[in-house]
Amino acid sequence: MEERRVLLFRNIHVVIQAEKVILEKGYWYQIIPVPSNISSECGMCIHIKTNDYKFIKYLLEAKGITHSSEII
Amino acid sequence: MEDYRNKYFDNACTSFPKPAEVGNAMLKHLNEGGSYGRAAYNRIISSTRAVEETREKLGSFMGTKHFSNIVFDYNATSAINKILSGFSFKHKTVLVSPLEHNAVMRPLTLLGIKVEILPHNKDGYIAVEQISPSMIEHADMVIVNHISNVNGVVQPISQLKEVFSGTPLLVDASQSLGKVEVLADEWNIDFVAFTGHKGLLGPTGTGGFYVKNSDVLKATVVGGTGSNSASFEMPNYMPDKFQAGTPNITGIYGLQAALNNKPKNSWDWLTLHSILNELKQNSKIRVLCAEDYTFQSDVFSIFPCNEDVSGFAYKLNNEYGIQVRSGLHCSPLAHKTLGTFPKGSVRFSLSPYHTNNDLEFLYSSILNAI
Repeated sequence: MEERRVLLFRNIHVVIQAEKVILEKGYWYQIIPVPSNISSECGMCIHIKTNDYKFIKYLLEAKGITHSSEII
Repeated sequence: MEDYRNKYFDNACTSFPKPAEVGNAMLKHLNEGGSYGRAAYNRIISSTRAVEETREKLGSFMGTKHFSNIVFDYNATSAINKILSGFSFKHKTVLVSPLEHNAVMRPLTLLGIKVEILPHNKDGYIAVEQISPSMIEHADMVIVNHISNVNGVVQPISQLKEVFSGTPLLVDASQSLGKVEVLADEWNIDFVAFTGHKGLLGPTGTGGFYVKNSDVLKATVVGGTGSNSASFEMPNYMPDKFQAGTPNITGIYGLQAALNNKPKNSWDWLTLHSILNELKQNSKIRVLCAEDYTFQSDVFSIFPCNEDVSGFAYKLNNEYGIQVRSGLHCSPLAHKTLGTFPKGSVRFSLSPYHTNNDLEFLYSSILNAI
């Protein structure tokens, strides 16, 4: 089974900014509630494919969008 | 025969009509629902996107790339209260324009802040060249009503900030945003308070403020933000720091539609200027407007010399269908500056939907009624 990863942000404002970046480039994603075993300031996170992470990370950093990530 | 003329000249109070898309968008949200950012199901995600897209769009309207620093509130008054009550006044002194609204004057009075009036011309336009170094030294903040809601004078914000480069500047853009250029980044403005239902043509109950550096303000209204929920303290990051509770999402849907469907003016400035010139020739009225039309917006007032202002406004409505506001317009300071206190004036404020024919009808109605 393909490994999945969630991107964590400090608030929903940043989640939507990040979603816009990911959406523009056509990567698969879902906005989901943060899994309860993960600690996050925001209740929402973005679920992506782990294989896409290095590209998405680059895009987010280029836009100055701060995030952390966890494998789920 | 039906009269299609637009006789509503009270757009400084609230804009009418709105773009048709405004009501449709609000109805869509009411029918489809969805809160802001509190869960991850589609209904909420859609609403949250709408709020955040509106925030970003507002950033372009007020000339800032830092749209995360735009906070939604319910109107400019509430926003100004949050800015002033959250700011630390060291000298307890502020400088204000001579045309300030009570949205500024009353919070300052409540907070016990000493107010000094900036030097100005007869029409209330700030005389930047007359500002003395001593005024600059002891002022905690400069507050300027960008466009007067009484005579429509547009103040020189960028020149003011050049003089007060080290002093925080609060711009009340209630009458200006959506009508004239507001360049928060380029002009280095510290705070911009705005409303959604005037120049932006959105619904009432929308507005807010932009803050350049959120660290200079403490949050005075606190509560749930959907972030950092384990803590009893408010988050220190934007926009959550100043945005407790559920925002007016339905209103924001309407505001977004307004921003995306802003019409161009259907009337021209030469027509307005020629009407002002003609009215100035009439000895029965005093016209309150900018001395130099370079600084004139689409708001102006008249003072009927031999008639009660409310009676004149009533006559305009009753006999000609012209809808306007009379009195002090919540701006006693402006009327003191302009010599029309305590009676006030009869105010006319245009919409982009007015035509030159509507303006000419207004002019002839004023002449006939006076």
